[in-house]
Amino acid sequence: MKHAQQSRTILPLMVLLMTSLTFASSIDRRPVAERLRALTPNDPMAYFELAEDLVDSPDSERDRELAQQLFGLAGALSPDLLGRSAALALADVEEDPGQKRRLLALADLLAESRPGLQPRSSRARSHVDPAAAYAVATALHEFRNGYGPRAIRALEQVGATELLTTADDALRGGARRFIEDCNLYRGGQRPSLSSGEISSLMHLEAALLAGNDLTWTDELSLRGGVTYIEVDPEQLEQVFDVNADRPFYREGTWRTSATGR
Amino acid sequence: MTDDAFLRFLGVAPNASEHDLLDLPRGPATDKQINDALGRQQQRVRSHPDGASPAAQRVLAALTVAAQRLRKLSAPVQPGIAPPSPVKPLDPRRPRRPQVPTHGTAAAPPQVRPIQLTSFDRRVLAILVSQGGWNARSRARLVSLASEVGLSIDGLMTVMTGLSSVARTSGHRIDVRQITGGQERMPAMFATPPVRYAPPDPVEVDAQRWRRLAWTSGVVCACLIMLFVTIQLLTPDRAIQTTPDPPPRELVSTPALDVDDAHPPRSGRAELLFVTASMPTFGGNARPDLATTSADGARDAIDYLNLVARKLSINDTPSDAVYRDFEVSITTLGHAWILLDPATRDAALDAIGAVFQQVGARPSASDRLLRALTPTDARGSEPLSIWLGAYQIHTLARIGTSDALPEPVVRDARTELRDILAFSKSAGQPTPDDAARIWLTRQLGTLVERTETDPRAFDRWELWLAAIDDVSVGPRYDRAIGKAIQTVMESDTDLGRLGPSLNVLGRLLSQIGLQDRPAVRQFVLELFENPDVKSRDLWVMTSLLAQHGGAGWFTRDLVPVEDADSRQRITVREALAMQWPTRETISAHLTDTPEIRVDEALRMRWLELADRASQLDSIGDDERRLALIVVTARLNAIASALARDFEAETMGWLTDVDLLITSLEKNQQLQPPSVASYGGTSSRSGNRSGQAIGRDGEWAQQYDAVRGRADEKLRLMRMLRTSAGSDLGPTDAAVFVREVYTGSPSEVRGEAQANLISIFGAGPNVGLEMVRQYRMRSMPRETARVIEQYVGQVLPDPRDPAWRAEARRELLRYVLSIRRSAYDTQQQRASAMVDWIAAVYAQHHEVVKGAIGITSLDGMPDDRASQLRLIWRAEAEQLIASDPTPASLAVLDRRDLTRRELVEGPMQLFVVEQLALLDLLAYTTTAERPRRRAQVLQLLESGARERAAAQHVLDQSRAIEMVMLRIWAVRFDPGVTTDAGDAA
Repeated sequence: MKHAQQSRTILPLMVLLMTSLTFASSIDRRPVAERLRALTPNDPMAYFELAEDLVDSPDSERDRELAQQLFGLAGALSPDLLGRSAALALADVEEDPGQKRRLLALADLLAESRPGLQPRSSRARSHVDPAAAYAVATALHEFRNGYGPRAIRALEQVGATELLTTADDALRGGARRFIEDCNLYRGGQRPSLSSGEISSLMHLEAALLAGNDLTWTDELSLRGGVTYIEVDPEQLEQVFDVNADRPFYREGTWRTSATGR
Repeated sequence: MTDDAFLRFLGVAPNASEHDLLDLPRGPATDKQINDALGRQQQRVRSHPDGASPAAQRVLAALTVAAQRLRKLSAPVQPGIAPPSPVKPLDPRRPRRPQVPTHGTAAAPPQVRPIQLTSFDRRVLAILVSQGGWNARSRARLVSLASEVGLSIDGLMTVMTGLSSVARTSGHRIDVRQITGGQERMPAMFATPPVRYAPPDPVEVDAQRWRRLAWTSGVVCACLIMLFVTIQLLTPDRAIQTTPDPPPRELVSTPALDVDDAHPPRSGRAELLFVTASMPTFGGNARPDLATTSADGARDAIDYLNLVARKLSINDTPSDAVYRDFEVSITTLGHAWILLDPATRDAALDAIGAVFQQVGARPSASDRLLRALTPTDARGSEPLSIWLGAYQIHTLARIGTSDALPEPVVRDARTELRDILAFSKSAGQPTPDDAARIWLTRQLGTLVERTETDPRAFDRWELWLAAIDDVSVGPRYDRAIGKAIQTVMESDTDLGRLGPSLNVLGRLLSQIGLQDRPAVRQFVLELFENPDVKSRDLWVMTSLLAQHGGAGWFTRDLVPVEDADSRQRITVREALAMQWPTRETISAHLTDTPEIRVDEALRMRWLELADRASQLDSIGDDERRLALIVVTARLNAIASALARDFEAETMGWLTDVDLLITSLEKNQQLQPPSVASYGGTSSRSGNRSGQAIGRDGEWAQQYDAVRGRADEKLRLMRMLRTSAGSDLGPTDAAVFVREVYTGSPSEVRGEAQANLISIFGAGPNVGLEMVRQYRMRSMPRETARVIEQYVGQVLPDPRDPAWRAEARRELLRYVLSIRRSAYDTQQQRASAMVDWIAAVYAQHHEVVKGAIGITSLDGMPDDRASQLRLIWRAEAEQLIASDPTPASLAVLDRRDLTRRELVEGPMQLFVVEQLALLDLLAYTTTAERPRRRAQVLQLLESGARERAAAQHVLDQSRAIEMVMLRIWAVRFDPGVTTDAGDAA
């Protein structure tokens, strides 16, 4: 009986030990230079794994750039398998906000498997959740009428506060200040707003309620002039800024052949 | 004559009903009964001693028409109506009429002994007939024929002189049956696909020729087998994968993969070919008996048409027989027209024109005659319906483009044609050949559908090919064949299985050339991008081209694998596009003459304004950004107008744009034009101004003082009609609006609501209170109706869950439109600018449609741009692009759909529409001027960089308009390029 109890205690520990040993043995501990030299386009996953290792413990800016190239090459060499993962990984390490949006948009495009060459149906014009939009519109209305607590309650709707934040520029002092003011104006005590500010809030409210019937001026009021992201999922090399015809790393540069060309 | 013929062959009067003609009992009949009856009656006529005479052909044609009519009548059987009782085909309810003896009748044509033609004579005559008489083409073919049989040119001339002399002096017209020697269809197994532009010789090949052919074929086959075996024995790394049941495949060695390889195997390579010994093909009957006998009767049909014209000229209410004569004549001509020489065709057309000339003032007669030109039996069992339908459409289009015929007839013909071809009015009037070709390509679906099941499918295809050959040449022919190939490839049939569809595909492929045909290149490349074309079928098609396409450069590397995925297909497509000898063989010889000629003074003025517009600074608020888009979009619209010869209009528009640019150069605000200047109506027009009169608060004080007294409340409410202006002060407005929403009793609320609509509709203070006191949760029905009236918009039913958001949104929008703060004014101006952009695009759309001056302002800019894109897309389809730039239309379509997936908001949607327009403009420009491709690509690339760097979506929009301006400048450039893209 006692022996059986000991076995029940030791068995999980052994399993844990074995798992750890297996995991440790799967980590490629070869030097980076050696792993770089071993890369071949027949194994795009190796590019991705090396890039992940470099990103996890970057020694220098050079490592980060190398990781970006490796992610890009992995995605370009195997678009179906690694295209989306590469886009997300590159978005993680990207510092430029514009390029980050572009990569995320690309990941979004590559998210769903598309049989053959059939494109997905066009997406709705607005990405705003109608319930959240209505809640924010209600909050603006109540705030203008001096019922801050009601406005705060309306903002408890899922996604409402996030939506309010996207309209930061249209609110005097931003979304944070708006929420603070809601706590000040209560019991019908209206905030002191200029005629232009009242109109601006009303315009924002109308834009939130517009749904897919958004006008240009609604759009300008709600989100400003957010630029359109152009990205072509069929030209991953261009988006990832890599040349898949140069997949061999030799003497610090990417080459077309393993022999050094 | 007609009377005699009907009596003689069928024993019925000429004006007999369709049922009598077909010897069917009265009442509805099934298609099978009609077809059986038609077959029986046709057999009766043909078995008559004069069954091959022209008169017999007229009767046969009348039978066909009668059958068509009956099918039409019996087709729409309504549910609930008792089905017709079946009739045994061989046991008609009505007894057969006794056959009237024909010998010795006065109308019988004189019996002439036919002349005896030798095989060579027949071939000579056939060439003359098929090539339209003595001309360069027939001369070349006759010389070739003479050399084939070892005859000298003098000998040939002797034969021709003899034939001509016999035809002139014997009084006997040599008919088609004599020319062809009564040839029946060739067995499919021996048929050779006709060479493009050289129709197959219809002459019966004599036994000796067949023997010679068989012997030669045997020798060639034996040689080929020996050669094949030798190659296999001498090539150790090749192995044959023998698959007796389809598809036959050949395993071609693949180089061993090496990591050093510069081209790692990321894409599919052709490892297996769909192997066939020769290009699959078929041989249908291109000259059915009905066609040849109808050709013999064509002259008579023309005579009848002239007779119809005379009858119509003297009789305002012609009998049914007149219309039927017309119909029968059209059917006869339609069944034969491909075989007719140009002179006969012209004569037929003149006769048809003469008929319609007589019915100009009689719409009912015109309608009835035009109906005879409407194809009704395109899906019928008779393969010749393909020729007939094409002829009807051809004739209809000829009438529609006639200057000589009465205007109502021309207009009706155009309408009829548009209906048949499903064309919009703006699509313009197609030429007769184009109309017939379009109609023929519309029949491809049915043809393909029947290919695997219809025993006469090859006949149908043969007739289709002959017709399409007749109505199209060059790129148009290539496109029609391309469409046929595409339709076959898009079908569900597995082309990798030996069968009729594979034979049809092979025959169609043998009709195209791979060397110097830009249209062929285009449609073959598009097949790779077509999601409806299965990879296996693509593999079959490219395998056939690689083996039997006759182009050395089309190697096995250009065959995608059988189960290629989309990326492998694209990779092979790109390789194919690179290897296709387009630039070297075509572009090098292309001249770069601009297709658009623009008045030089106008062009220079336009260029100067475009240059000034490009230098305008985009720094500023949204209104300025919008104004810059207005200016550049207007210049693009003017460019379109210049390209379409609206020179008079463009002079005024250029002056307008000049003023706009000057204002922007001085940083002045633009004044959006009034709606009237665009000739339309605006949903935003006519905002009323509101003004309060009297001291604010007095009325509210009085009103609150009479609380509970309804009559006093009503009095005070009514007093507002005379004492107040069009608005109230803030305090009065608050009390007034409270009564609008919640006034009690209901009479008081009703009075307040009436005042709201009639007096304070434009009052900003009242409006603001309407927004402030709006209840977010519930609203009585009558108050909901008042809000609808107040905002002037149709809203959902108040019980609809969507009501609360929509009503509130419209209330907010309306009140914002009547407020007058600086912010509101700025917003209203921006809104007017957006409307202006929409109007500019609407005007551009109308320029392209060719109908200036009917612009309306309904719709957003993206809607307007979308309309323009559709027209540009349709126009681009008509172009032949030797090297489609920036990509083929199929790729551009897909790119457009991808772009739409990333759109957020209406402005970005507009940008996507603009990008599609930009692509189409680049495509059109490079199709017209291929040697400007590099220049256009450079402009596109710089535009893409500019957009990527833009910080505002409106800046992106303006950047696109600017690239379009630059491409228009390239398109207008009169300079001729002689090198790689620089204007000389």
